[in-house]
Amino acid sequence: MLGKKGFNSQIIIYILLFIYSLFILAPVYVVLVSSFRTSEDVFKYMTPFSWRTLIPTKITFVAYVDIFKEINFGRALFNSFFISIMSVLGGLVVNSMAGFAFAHFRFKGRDILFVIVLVTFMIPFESIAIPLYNFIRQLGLVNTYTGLILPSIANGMIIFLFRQFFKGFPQALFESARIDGASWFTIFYKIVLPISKPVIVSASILMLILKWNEFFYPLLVGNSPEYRVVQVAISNFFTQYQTKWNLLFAGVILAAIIPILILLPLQRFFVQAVTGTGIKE
Amino acid sequence: MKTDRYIIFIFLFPALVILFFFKVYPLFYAVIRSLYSYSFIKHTLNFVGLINYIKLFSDPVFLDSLKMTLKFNLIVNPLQVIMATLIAVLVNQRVKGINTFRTLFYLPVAISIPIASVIWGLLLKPNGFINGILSLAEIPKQLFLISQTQALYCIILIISWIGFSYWMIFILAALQEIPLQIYESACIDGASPLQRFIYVTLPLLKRAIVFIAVGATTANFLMFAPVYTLTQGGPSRSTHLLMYEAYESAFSYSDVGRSNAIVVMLIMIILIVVGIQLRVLRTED
Repeated sequence: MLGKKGFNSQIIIYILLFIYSLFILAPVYVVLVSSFRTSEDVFKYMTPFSWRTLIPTKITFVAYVDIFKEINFGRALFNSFFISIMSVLGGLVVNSMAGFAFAHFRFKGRDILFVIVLVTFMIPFESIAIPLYNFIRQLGLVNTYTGLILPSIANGMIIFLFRQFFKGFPQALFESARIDGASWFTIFYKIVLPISKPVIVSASILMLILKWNEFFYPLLVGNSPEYRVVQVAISNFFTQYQTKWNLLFAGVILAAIIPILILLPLQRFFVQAVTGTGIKE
Repeated sequence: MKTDRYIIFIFLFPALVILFFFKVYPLFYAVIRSLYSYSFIKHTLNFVGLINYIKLFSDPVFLDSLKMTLKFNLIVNPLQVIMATLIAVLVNQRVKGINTFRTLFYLPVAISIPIASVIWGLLLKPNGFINGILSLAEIPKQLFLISQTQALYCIILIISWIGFSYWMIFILAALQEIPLQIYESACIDGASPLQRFIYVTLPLLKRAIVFIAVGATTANFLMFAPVYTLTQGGPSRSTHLLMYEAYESAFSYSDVGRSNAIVVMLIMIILIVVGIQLRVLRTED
């Protein structure tokens, strides 16, 4: 483990890395390649296995066009974008303010309240899914954007993230502003947030990916064609449309590409958010 | 520093209200609702105490599902914990280009479980890619998701495809906090790489391993998406996991009381299993 590794160990390590990379990449590659085929060709070349399985001879974009025309995937994409972005914006405001309050305000019951907030993060969604659906239904928010966005805006983990970060700011930073008569709002929005870019990036990435990939909740609360998000749309598509495979593959690529493009370049921030380790520059 | 009450209120209120109404309240509601039964004839909600729970234990569908869920978790949880740790160690090796591999290994984490289910669902079709590869080795076509014996393992594969990478993140973070000096002194003491791993690395990873064991257990006991998308509990109820049964109970049989009872039972099972894990893993000091 130290210094340069012996040649033999290096070979073994690279072999293992290569094998696991195949395990990760092969499914994605197959889907990508299949999305550029026509629906008849998709399974024509899978078995028997040949070089044609991996490299398409005729590339066509028909799947990508048809998926918008025939099953209105564009609507699902729009829904996912809109709901995810609004969730992130709302979440940034709500969770950062709560995190700041826990970090710098003194009030009775603060610590107990914070522990309770953390505990809510550990409540697995499935355990509250059905009663939550009932509640949303009572509120008349089924199949509405509000119903799809609102409940997940507050997130104990994100509040924790913000609190940890804000704790790094000394009270002295605020004292002079307070003496000058600045309100906490001014302090928060004009002083604190502008220098909080790292935690804002981490929190945004985490919230965006979580919301974009959310499935069970939108399945219950937003299953109508108008409000369906891509996760639900593709899942339903798989069971319903048993012949247009290439459309399905195209949908998968479109649905997966967004979180992939966000996660991979910014993985450092994602990892910091998920492990709750100190957010570093 | 003096802070007006109402400012504290404004900063905290939105988050607390949302958390309370959409996380805490439904949890209590689930428990209480499991003690009630809805009569379609009389259109009333009646308190029935623990009847919903008692009926579960004489229900063959529930018992079957329970057995299967336990078997599923007995396999998938240790598998994910062990593999996540091994892969983290692999990806922590200091060889050239390791950063590229590490980035690549994060890929499945970006993909949601339903999307991964669809991806693998297509690969595992009788005329799909995996059978194509097997045909190269002259292995006959497997039924995979439509096989009573193989379907559950396919689901284990699919969720682990993401799970290995996701849980790896935590072990990797812990690995990277281990100072090099510790390894150096172990080397000086003449420890072999395997010895270094067992006696130096693993103990230092204990906390992270416990963390991912608890996390994976919780997530896997509540697994739902692959069953809904790919198998709907089949073939022949071989993938009928408990969470799916809870879902069916509420939305196919309209028995919400029973549905919540199943979920509460799941939570209790999780608490027991996690409790056992914490006991076992803590005492190995």
